[in-house]
Amino acid sequence: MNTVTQSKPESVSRMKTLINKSMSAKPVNFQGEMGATVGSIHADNPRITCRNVNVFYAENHAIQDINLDIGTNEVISLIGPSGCGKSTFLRCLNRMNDTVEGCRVSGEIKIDDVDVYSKHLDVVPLRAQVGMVFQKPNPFPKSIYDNIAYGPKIHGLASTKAELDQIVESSLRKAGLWDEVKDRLDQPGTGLSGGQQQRLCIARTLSVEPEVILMDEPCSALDPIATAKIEQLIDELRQRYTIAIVTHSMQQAARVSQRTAYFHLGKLIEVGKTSDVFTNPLHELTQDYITGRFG
Amino acid sequence: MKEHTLHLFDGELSHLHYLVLEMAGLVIDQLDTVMTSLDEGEASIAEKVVARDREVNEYELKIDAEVLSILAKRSPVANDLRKVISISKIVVDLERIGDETVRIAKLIIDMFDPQTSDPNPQLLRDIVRMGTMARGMLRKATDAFDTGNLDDAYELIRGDWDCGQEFQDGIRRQLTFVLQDARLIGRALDILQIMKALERCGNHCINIAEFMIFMVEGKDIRHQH
Repeated sequence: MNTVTQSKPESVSRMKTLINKSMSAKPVNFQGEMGATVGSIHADNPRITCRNVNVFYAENHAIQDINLDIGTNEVISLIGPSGCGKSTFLRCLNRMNDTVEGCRVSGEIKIDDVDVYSKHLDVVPLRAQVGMVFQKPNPFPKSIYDNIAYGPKIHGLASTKAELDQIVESSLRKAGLWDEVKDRLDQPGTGLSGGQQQRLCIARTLSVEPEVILMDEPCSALDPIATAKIEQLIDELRQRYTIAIVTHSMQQAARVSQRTAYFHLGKLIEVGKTSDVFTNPLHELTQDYITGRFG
Repeated sequence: MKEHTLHLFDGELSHLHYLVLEMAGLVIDQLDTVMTSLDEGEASIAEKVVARDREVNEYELKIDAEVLSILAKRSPVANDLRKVISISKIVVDLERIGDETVRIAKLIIDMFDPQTSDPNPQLLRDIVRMGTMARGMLRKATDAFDTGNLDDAYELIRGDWDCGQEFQDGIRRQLTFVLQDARLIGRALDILQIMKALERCGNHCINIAEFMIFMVEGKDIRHQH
């Protein structure tokens, strides 16, 4: 987890009200103009728009010409074989790739029409607004309470203890964890079960009032029951947040998402409604992967 | 098509495919046999059709069990899912064709009861015509399933084989006979029931063709033509 520096409350709202840059979304014909992606890159009421996104790790061209919209209050799953670039792409959305030495990102990524790679953008409030949950639960070595309270304190989201208590309770409730931990908030977060720790991390993400939640294989370290609880939580959270989830489980992608994007060797091959992708995919590569004929 | 990484899955899908072909073969034979019994005026042949319906039903149960097992164990998606779901629907149409052949067989048994006079061969011509049509449609539907070639399926759906029209024409001809001789009305009604059963066989074949198109192309064209 990156070091969070002190910032004023205004910077979070400032990010949300940054002047719209005039970039009208080009209508795109995905059978011709913009490359090989099939399906529809556009989303109803897009929150995130990505155009011509390329990522290089030194000389390695890891992500090639990605164009994709992510809609407001939708869950989009990013699927594909290992090494296809889906996690790299996910990390572009909150500039976590900035922390990777030798990583170069080109193209345009906008959230609420704000270019997140603008020179004037402060990445700290960006990473609060675009929160991330990782594969392995990573609670701070602090109490359950302090795990949640740390972010709001740093971002100046609470000016009194009562407000902080309210934020902690609200975040834990939204993550479906309050009833399980309300009587032991002073106990270490690392003492929780794996599934509880992951929900604690989600609560921690929610505590700084994000607009978007990025999840990188959030259930791969969890048992089936904990996984089911996280999936139920994802379904509840999408009422208020936009969620992008990387997953290796076809069934999970089919269960939790409204749209699915298939990546292959750094390219976005297909994107469409999840029900369509899993019943009648347009691209042979997508069909081979999801049916297990890949490789 | 490429193989699944899990070879067992390919084996299960193949097994399911061949079970359907076996069932279709049995139903084709039932239809052929019942038409032979009419052609030869032999009720004993029709009785074999009635007795063998149990085998058709057993195939339906066996295939449904396989479908359930695949859905539970393999969570198929895309073309695999469409194949399994389509098979579960096709089997219902095959079983219903089987039921229609039994219905026809029972009417033939009555028709050729030794205590009654045989029907006038002129009255039976419509059945023979429709029977030939239904048998042809069932073979086409089965071939489409076997090969995955949709030309036969589209031919069935285009209406090149119009059992409905044949049935309507048959009603008119039977009425003509009855108007000439009212004593023929009982036989005419039996013949119309047989023709109706054959018309339903044709409709089930069209259903099978629709599911073939869904299975191969992912298009649901039911209720659109």
